[in-house]
Amino acid sequence: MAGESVSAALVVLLWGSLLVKLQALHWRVRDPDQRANCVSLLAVALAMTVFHPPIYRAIDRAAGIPNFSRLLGNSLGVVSAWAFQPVIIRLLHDRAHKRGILGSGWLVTGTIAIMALLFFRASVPVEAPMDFQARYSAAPYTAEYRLVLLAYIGILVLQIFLRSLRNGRVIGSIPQSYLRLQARVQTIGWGLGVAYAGLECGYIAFALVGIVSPHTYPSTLAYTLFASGCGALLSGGLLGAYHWGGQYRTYRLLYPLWRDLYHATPGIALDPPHSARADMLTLRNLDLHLYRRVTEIRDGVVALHRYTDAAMHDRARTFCCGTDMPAEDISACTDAIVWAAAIQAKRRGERVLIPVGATPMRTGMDLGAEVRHLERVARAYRKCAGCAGTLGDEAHFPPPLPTRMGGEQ
Amino acid sequence: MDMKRVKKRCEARLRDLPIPVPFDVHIFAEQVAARRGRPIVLHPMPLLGSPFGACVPRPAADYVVYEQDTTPLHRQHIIVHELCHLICGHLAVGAGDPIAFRSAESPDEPQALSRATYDDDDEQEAEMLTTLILVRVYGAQANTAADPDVVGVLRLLDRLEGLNSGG
Repeated sequence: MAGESVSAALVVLLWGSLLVKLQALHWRVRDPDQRANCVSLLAVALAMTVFHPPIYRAIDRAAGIPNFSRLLGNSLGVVSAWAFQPVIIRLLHDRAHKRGILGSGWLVTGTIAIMALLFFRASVPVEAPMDFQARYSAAPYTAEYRLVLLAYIGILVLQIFLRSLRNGRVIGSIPQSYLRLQARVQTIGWGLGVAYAGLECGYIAFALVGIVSPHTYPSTLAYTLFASGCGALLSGGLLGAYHWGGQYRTYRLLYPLWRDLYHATPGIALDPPHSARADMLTLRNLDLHLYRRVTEIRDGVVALHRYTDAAMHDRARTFCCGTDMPAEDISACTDAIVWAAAIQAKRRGERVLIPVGATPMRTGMDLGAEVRHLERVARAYRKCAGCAGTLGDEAHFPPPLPTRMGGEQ
Repeated sequence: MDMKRVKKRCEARLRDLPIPVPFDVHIFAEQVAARRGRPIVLHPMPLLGSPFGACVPRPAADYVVYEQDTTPLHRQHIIVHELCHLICGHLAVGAGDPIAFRSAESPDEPQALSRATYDDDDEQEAEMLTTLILVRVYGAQANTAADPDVVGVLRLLDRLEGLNSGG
C-alpha cells in the first residue's frame, strides 16, 4: 500500500512538473533543447503512469498479456532517455548539436526491439506491478532484458551525474541559495539513479553467475533508491515554488513604498498595475516584475533628491540610533524615514536649498542584496513612516523655493 | 502603446543581441559602439533626479550622461537604458555638449532625450529592452561565471526551465 502511495505521488509530481514546465514556456516549445526536455519528461510521466499498479493491471487486462505494462513502461523509459540525449550532449559539449551515439534512432529502435524479443521469450506469467524485479530479475531472458534496459538508461544517468560532479565548484558559487540547493539536490538525484542502476546490474550479474540467490532481490533498497532519486530530480519544482513564494512576498512587501513613491512621481512606472488588487494578482513573470519594482523604487528615490538634504539624513539617523535596532536596520530605517519625509515635502512642493549629495552605496552590484535592503526599508517604512512628519515639519525645512516645480504632484 | 506588443518586439531584439558574459556595462557599451561604428562616452553627473540619464549624440561620439548619485545597480540600469536607445535606433531629441547639458536646459528641470518618464514609445521600448536584458543577466547568473562552458550550461538550463522566456 505504501508502495502504491509513493507511486501515485511520483505520477502526480511528474505530470505536475511537465505542466509547470510547459506553463513556464507559455505552452510554446521554442527550440530543440526545450523540445527534447519536454518530450523526455512526457515519456517518463507516461512510463510512471503505466507502472502505477491499478493502471498497470488495467493495461495488462486490455492487452491480455501478463506484465505487458512492464515492457511498455520500460520502453517509454528508453524513449525518455533517447529524447533527452541532445540535452546531455549539449551539457557535455556546449556547442555540439548532434544527438550522440545513444541518441541514434536506430540504436533506440534496436534496444526496444531486443527488449521486446527477450520479454516475449521470458516466462513472466504472474502479473507483478510492484515486485517484478524481485520475482523475475534473475529469471532466464528477464535478466538479459533488464541488463539491456539498464545499460541504455544507466549510461545516460552516469553521464549527467559525472557532469554534475564536474560542475560542483561552480554550483557552490551560485549566490542564490535556492538555486544552489536545487543544483545540489539534483546531483544527489542523479547519483541515486546511478546507484539504482548499479545495484540492479550487479544483482542480475551476481545472480546469473550464482553468487547471490535469485530470490534475495533487495527490493526495499532498490525501490528506495529509485523513488528517492526521482524525488530528488523532481524537487526542482518544489524549490522553484518556494522561490516563487519568496519573490511574491517581497513584491507585495515593497508595494506600499512603491505606491507612495509612484504617487509622488507617476513617471517612474513603466506599466503600473491598475489597482492594488491587480498588483496583488501579479502572479506570473515575478523575476521581471520584482526587478521593475526595485528599479522604480530607486527611480522614485532619485526623483526625490531635490526634497532631501544632509540635515534631514542626520536627523533621521539620530532618531534611529536612539533605538536599540541593529546597524542594518538603522540604515534601512533612516532611508525609510528620509524617503517618507521627502514624499511629504514633494507633496507640499517644499524643495531643500542644498539637495543631498551622494546616496550611501550599500548594496554593490548584487541584486539580491539590493532587494534585501529594500525589504528592510519597506518594513521600516510601514512602521515608522509617521515619524517622517517630524522631519517634514516646517520648522525643520526652509520655505519652498519659488520655482515652476512648486506644487507639482 | 500596448505594453505586450512592446515586450514582444523587445524580446525579438534581444534574441539577436550579444550580451557580454560576465556582464559589464562598459564592455556592453563598447559592443554597442562597435556595432554603430561610433564611440560612446559614458559620463556620470549629478542630475538631481530629473532626468536620471540622457543620450546626447554629437558629431564625434554619442554621450551617455547618467545620474551619479544612486546605487551602482541603478546607475547600470540607467546606462543600459540609454544604450538601448542607440540599439533601437531612436532619434535623439536633445543635443549639446554633455558637460553643458544641464546649463543648456532649464537648470531646475533639465529636459532632453532622457530617462525620466515613459510617456512616449521610444522611452517605453528602451526601458522594456533594458529590463529584459538585466533580468536575463541577473536571472542567468551569467555575471557570476567567467567560464564560457559553465555559462553555456547555465543558459541551457535557464532555457529548459523557461526562465526569461517572457510572456
